[in-house]
Amino acid sequence: MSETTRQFESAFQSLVNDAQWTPAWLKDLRQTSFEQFAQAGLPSRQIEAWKYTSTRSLNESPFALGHASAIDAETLAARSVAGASRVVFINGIFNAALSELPTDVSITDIREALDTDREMVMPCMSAEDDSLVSLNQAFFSSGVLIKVNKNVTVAKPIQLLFLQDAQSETVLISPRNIIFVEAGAQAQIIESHFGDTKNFTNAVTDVFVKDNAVCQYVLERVLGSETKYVSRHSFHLARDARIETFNLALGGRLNRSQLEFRLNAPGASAKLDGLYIARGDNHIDNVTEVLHLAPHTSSAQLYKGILEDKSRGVFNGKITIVKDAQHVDAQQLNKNLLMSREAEVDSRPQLIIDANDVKCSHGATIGQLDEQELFYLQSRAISLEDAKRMLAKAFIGDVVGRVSGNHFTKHLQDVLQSFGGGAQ
Amino acid sequence: MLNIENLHVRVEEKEVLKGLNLHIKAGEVHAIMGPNGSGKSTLSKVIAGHPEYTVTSGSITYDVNFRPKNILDMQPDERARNGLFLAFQYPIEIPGIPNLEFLRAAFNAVCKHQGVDPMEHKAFDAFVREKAKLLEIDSSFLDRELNVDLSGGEKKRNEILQMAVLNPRLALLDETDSGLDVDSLRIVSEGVNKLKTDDNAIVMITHYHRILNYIKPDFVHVLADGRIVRSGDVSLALEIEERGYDWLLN
Repeated sequence: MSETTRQFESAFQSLVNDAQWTPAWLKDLRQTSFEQFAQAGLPSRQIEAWKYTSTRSLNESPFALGHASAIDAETLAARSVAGASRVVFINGIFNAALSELPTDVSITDIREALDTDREMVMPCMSAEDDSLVSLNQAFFSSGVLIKVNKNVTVAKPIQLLFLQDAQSETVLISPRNIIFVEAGAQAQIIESHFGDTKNFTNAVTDVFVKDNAVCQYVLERVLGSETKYVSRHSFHLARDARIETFNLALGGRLNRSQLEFRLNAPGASAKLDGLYIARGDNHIDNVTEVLHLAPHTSSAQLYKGILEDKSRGVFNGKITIVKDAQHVDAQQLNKNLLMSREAEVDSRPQLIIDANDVKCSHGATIGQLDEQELFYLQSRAISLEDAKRMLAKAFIGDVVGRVSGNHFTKHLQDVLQSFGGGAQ
Repeated sequence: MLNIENLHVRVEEKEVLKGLNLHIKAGEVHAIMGPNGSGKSTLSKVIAGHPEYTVTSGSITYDVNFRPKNILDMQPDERARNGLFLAFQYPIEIPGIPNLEFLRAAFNAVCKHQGVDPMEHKAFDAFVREKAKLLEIDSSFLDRELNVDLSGGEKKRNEILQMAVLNPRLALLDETDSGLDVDSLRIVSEGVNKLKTDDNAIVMITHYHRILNYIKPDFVHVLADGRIVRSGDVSLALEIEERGYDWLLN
């Protein structure tokens, strides 16, 4: 076992020997996955997708398992999306009392689902070459299987709300979610991670959007300066399926998402919007990978970031269009605003095209606040600080506007407001 | 109210103002004329506090609470909060900031400075719409992004709307007349005249005599090669209209 994986060893032993968390039928999967993880270790910067992001902050102290805990009503209300059903997890453990489950959708605890819906869940349980997915599979103790039946339009958005109580320290939280939006169905899912602790969240989610189904998926992670988070999401799109994602990252010592979109059949389309704001020593890394595997598929992506203080941002966006995937329309744009001289961002938009009749565009910009605009605002009595704030807000205005008119809109404004700084 | 003594200003390595003197009292209207490149716009930007300009010697004092204060130590926003206003020759377009929100932020910054509670949204809305009417500005204009996609004339009107909202003690109008058609010039000038009182002052920077038919100056100055080379009353402007600047430069 390598140095970097030892931090997880003792927590794993407690978990695997606890019958409540590791029923007999789960033991093998956990063991195998942990061995895979131990062999591969945490991702190193030699790996292309991790070139600008270090996992060093995960080596500082051993991780423990989370304990069930409560959270005050005020915090819960502030984190909840009004008008949404919610499934609440605290320190990675499901909290039935705080949850308000929907009535028109089947939601099952993921460990239970491994037993009851084995044929649906097991195909997702392959770690491939991603050691963090192996780590998640070794540890997952929370998360859900959501089944939205054929032609059902889910009345309310469903919020998967992952909270951490302030007392928890260096806890490993391993959510595993699998979501099926069956043919012709429509659903809105909001996966929220809030934490201001030294905890480490390692989340894995698979979303299957079947023929002619529509899924809106919000991923938000609002983290404190010591909080660590990595995740991998895979969206599998069938014929004429549509996914609309909004990916919000605020703060975090290590705040990394990796979103993969597999457009498997003609007519599938994906919308990828993202907003990230880092300050202090925050490090935010967003990886998107769009795979156009069939003709007549489309994707449009806009990620915008504000980097303040000494923070670091990374955007790694890859679009692949395979041979024979003709008539694909793929667009990608990443724009960054550096608010200080010490802030840094690395933006890598990449296109890999093996088809010859496609429409593609991609680009990245990195800029600073415009001196003339600042002077104009200041000449109208507005302080330099307020002028910067107004211009930063204007910079992200279009991407924020993409979520207008739904349940998440007000929540997003509140979250940005309380995060403060350039986000207000 | 504003006293400029022996002002020398550099932009990058070039000296643009070379010993300029100007004295403005409350209740006065001054016009500053001069050929291209004489330093007119530099003067207005230096007074407003643009960071690109370096004052190498001389002073600018401005009365704050009835006492002359060296404004070169003040940030542009602090100057503005104390009643200085510059109507830009080329107003800046800022996508993503709605005009009304911008006006409210500016107005509230002044309120805060004066120790007054900010105006409620609704009351402010009505207040701004009243001012907009004065300048014959359509109120849909207020919901648009700041100066984005406005015509040259609309931008200039928007500048004077900002002036009307902030009610400055000293307004510098930098070529507010350029690019205005006859009707817009009349509307803008009438707007400025309505804002004029015995307690405030106006400095118009212009190439043309035209605006002086609408806003009557008490003093006309000719700025050439970084200095004021001649001061007089409105008859000086008429003379320039007839004879050009050459006779003043030699």
